Amino acid sequence: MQYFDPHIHMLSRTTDDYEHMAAAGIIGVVEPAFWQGQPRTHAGTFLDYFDSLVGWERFRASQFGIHHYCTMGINPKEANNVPLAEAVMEALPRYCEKDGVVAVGEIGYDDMTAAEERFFTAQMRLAMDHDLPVLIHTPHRDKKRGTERSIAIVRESGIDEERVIIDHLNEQTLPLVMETGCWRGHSIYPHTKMSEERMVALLQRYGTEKMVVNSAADWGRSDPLKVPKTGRAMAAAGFDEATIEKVLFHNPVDFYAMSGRISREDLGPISVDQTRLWEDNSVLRGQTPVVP
Amino acid sequence: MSEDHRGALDAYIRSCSDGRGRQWLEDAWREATAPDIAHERLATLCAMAARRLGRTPCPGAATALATPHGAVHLGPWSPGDAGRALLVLAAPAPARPERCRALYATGDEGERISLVRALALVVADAGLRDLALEAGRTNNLALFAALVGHNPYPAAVYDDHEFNQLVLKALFMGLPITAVVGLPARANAELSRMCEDYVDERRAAGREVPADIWLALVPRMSPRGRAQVMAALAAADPAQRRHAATAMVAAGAADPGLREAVEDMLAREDDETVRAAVPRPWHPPHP
Ligand SMILES: [Zn+2]
Repeated sequence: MQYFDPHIHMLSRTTDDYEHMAAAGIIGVVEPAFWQGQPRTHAGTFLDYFDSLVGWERFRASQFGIHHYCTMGINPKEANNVPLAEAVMEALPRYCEKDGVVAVGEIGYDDMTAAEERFFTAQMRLAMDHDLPVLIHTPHRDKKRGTERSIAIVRESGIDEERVIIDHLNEQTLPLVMETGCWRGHSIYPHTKMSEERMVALLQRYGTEKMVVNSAADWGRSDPLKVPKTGRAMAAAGFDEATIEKVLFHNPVDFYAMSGRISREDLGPISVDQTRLWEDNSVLRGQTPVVP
Repeated sequence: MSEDHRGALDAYIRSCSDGRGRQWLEDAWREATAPDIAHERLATLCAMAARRLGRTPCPGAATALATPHGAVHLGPWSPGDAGRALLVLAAPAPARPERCRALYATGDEGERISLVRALALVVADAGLRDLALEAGRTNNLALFAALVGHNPYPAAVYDDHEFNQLVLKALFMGLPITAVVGLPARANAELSRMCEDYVDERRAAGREVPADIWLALVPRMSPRGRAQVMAALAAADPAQRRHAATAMVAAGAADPGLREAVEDMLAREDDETVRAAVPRPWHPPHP
């Protein structure tokens, strides 16, 4: 079985994680731009971060045979630093044209402030200008209200709802999104939020249409193998292989394929071209490369 | 020089782009030649180029372009690479180094690879040596390979120390130094010394030595290096024997003992590919 993790922050993960992910069948990931656990204080820090997402991290993933894509945006937390967010907004159009960028995101609400709303709305427009789909983060606190207000912003923007995914859903917020044309994202975490078993129950109840599952693994306690683990939980609950593949591979790829920069066909084995035939570099530190 | 390159790059792109790609190129060219184009717009065109023109090399369309730094082979170039080179060449010659630096600064991995491949085409002098050195500091294998492989610019503008570091880093990264333009013409005693130390270091760690290191080590080697390469003639890995023998043949004119050692080794060699790969200019060709 092959898997795709449509929301994972690989910059915070180790090469061990990449090895385990590849061994578990994950062949592609999307890394949304987000905050890094403490606030950035310079616009340039954002730009260097964005450059990592379209540069070094893509290369690092490729060394393990994993296709790496990303989304671009100012996260809701840092949108509250208005002068900083304004400076980053100026640079975002050029990043939205990079080959590895498959959506605008994660954008949305954190504390539901006026500044968050301003940059949420501005970035909906940015996505439409660049013909990119949108990844919306729903807040941890006051989640139901935050999800309702996010849906309202989507509707006001005039974007085709089919081009939006609303993420980090749970039993309480999924029904709200089921009434829209938006895709449904679920982050499976250890200890908190959604578990594999609860995810299986949601799939049994609401079906598999536009349903997407991710690990959202980052610098906190999280597990980069949650997508394959959900696959095992689905199999144990009686889902057949084709359905597991639909939810954990085809759905997320098809969502991001609306960018025109990723497709199921693009996700074949990473080609061993001339430059990658002699892999013994600093990332692998002299070990046998994972990629043949 | 630039007129020729523009025409050749344009022809290369046209040979394997569809109508939409060609139209995009025409529009992009018109924008990129405007004297007041904003950097943000130019950077956007640069980012789009591979998507619009194609990211795999055109089969059968390979050409070599002559530059003051040496020939640039378009073999590994994609139409997107050629399009990005044209975005730089669209500026008047004096403005090209600055445009190239600015696009590199805002480029992703693919854009940087394209710009590094184009260095010898976009400037006739050492005006982008700083950029070539910056690119050489990357740990991104694909980007470093674009700088070090089939690219005449580093050997043309680097000093000995810089060139030696480039070759050694290629060996560290496991890239084939057979693709380094300027070897063996730029070989020097310090490069041999660095390679000899590296051989000692690897052997002390019980690790393999890169098979092609002999091509950089042998030309100006010390007695220590001579002993190292003599030992490599008996290595278990045929690639070691082949590269060691090839390097010794090249240095053999000044040191007949090397040729004798190669003759002895080839007389015992049972790997046909090694025998076929080692040139022996002092022998008449086999019938
Ligand atoms: Zn996230």
